[in-house]
Amino acid sequence: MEMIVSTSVVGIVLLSAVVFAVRSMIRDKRKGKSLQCGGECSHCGLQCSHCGVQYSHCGGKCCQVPKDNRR
Amino acid sequence: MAVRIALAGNPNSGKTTLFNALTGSNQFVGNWPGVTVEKKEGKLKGQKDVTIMDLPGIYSLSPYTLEEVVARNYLLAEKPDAIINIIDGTNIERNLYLTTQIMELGIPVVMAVNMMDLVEKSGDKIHIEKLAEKLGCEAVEISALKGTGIKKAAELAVEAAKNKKSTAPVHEFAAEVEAVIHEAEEMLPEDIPEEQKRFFAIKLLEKDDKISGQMSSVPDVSACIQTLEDAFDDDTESIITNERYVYISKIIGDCVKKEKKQKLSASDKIDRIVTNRFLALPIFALVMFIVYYVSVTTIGDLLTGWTNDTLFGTWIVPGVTKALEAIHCADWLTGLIADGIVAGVGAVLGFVPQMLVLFLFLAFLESCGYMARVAFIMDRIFRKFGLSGKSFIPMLIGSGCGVPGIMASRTIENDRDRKMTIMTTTFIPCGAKLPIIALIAGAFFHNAGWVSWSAYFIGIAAIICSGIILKKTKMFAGEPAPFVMELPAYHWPTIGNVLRSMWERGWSFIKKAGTIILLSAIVLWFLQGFGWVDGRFMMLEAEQLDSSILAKIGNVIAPVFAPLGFGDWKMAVAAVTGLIAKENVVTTFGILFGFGEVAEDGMEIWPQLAATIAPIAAYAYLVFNLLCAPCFAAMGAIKREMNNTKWFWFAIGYECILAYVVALCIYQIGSLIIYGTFGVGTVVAFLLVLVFLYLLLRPYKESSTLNVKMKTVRARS
Repeated sequence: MEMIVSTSVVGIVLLSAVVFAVRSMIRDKRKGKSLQCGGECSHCGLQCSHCGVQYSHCGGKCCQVPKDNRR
Repeated sequence: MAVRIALAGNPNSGKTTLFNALTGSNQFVGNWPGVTVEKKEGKLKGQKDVTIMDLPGIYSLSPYTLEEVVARNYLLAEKPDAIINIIDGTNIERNLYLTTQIMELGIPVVMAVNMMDLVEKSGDKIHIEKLAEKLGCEAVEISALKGTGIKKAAELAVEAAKNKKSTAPVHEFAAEVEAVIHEAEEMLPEDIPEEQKRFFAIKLLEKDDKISGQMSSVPDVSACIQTLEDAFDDDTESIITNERYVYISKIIGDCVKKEKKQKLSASDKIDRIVTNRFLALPIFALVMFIVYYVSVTTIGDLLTGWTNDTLFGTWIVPGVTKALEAIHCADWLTGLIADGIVAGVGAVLGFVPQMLVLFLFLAFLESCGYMARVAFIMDRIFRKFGLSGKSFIPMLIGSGCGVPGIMASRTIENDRDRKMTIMTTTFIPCGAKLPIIALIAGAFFHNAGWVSWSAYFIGIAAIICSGIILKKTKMFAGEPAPFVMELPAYHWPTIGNVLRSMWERGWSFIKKAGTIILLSAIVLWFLQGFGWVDGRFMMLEAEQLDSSILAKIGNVIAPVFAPLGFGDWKMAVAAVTGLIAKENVVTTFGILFGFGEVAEDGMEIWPQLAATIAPIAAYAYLVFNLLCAPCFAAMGAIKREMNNTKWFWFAIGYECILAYVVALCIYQIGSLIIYGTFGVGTVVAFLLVLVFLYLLLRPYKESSTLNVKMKTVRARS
């Protein structure tokens, strides 16, 4: 009985971790972010046309535009 | 009245700093429609009816780069009410080239000479009133960084916009050139505004193939072009460019007084050594050796050793196992968590310290400006082998992650060079391959510094050899594209920026461990933990590993790798799991070599791994994993950038074949030298080396005859 309870609890915790990981990947994919690094794929590897900094995975943080005003 | 003002200027002239100063937080960022060039606009502080558009940094209004096309399409089609042309006062001659073209657009222009604080510091003097008079527009001195003069620049621009008085270009070229331009202007269609006729006429004479998109009808100016080319014995684009610079030189002579003693700047002094014809490459080799030596062998190894041995080996793995046993958790679940997840993910996370140290170095080298020089240095070598330094920039980016490296190849205009760059970018070891390098170096070579350093240079050698071989094929033959790049001044990077860059890359690695690697570890644990024994499907003991599902799969593919020295099914399976993510190679080793069990016994994974194959086979395994097809994410990027299934499979096939051949040669010839082993494999290896040398050294002469099947078509009367 004790084994069933402890196995179930640990199993649920593990399952939650897996579900969380999968959800995180699906959410990133829907936002156009990479599953590998979480960065924005649309700018990946390109040079910022304003300041020349090369995006690698940062998702365009070079020109310090307030995040709320990105569209 | 709503007013639109565009900010135009060279990259790094201070446009964005000025834009941020003028608009504050009242700005929005999006994308220009259909392209991946960012579009930034904002409202002028204190004047909500004034919109400021920050155009992409451009050197000219030619049609060569996406940024240039986007900027000039906006200026021609949207016709903003005024333009603020930002000039870098410390580099005025180059910046004025764009100015001469902007003046021809028929839009009111205000020139903002930026970085005046640096100009004054250097002792130079710019006569701003004379400059304004010579160029025929308002000019104002500003320092966007310090905030001086920007209010005046904005006021002048708004005033110019409201007055709607277009700036007529005052520059004049040589008489013969002006005559031809005038002739071309006469041929333009009626719907071209008078104030823009000069711009369109010059673009047509320059054979600008994209300007026709802005015109209702395109006149035939070939006669004008011929006249000009005959008169100057040069192509029209070069003629016009030369005329612009002659005009700019006259202005500079009258308006700018340079400090007489032009001392070399600190950057120039450093570049004299770092980009020296003979010292550049040895210095680069030394720098990368130090980077990898410190990251993998010394500091990185100390930290990783503690992480593997103490954190995971002594604390986490035994701790988790004991805790689960204490609460009487089922054996299979304990095994999954301890031997699967913790062992697999822990094996990868154990290398985080080394990765962080490596990323710290790379961030420092990038931020200080040295990496830009590397592209310049490599251009000299690459050009001999058919590529240009522009192809090395994606490879530099690929040293972090192959995906942005592949995407960065979009900036290469030449299609053949771009394809070749895409195919070879992943030869440079990315961050995900570092755990493999560190594992092999640690398990087989006592963490010798040369292992990691050699991995990097094998990548570069693979790129160079591939460049030579492929350039001699009809598919890729051709002259490399010209390479022009701006070398930023050296500067001490801020600690915050370096640490942030290091953390961003490190966090990506850790996040991947918590997602893709975690899921892979669970699947791998299942596949190696379950199998058929005496016809029954059951959970296996450690000694029954060879009966597992994974072993069955591995035994099918393992013979392929036997000639390379790693025909053991565990090595084969690890290489295949590396396609999901390269770190999975280490995860697989962590699970298959019983990291959890090993930790209980007090033994490390490394001695177990070292007992599986010989060191030369391990090095061949390392090289195979470095050169073969990259992870699925990078393959996806290759497929997108190639935009052609056939080319995608060609790229993957080329990488796999090259990896196989090189690993084969290393193992077979290495075994001959070290152990005196000689067999069929050795003969094959030598033959492959001969073929490789032939492909590398054979002369290639481009055909001078056009073999095309023609048929005569009789015209109908």
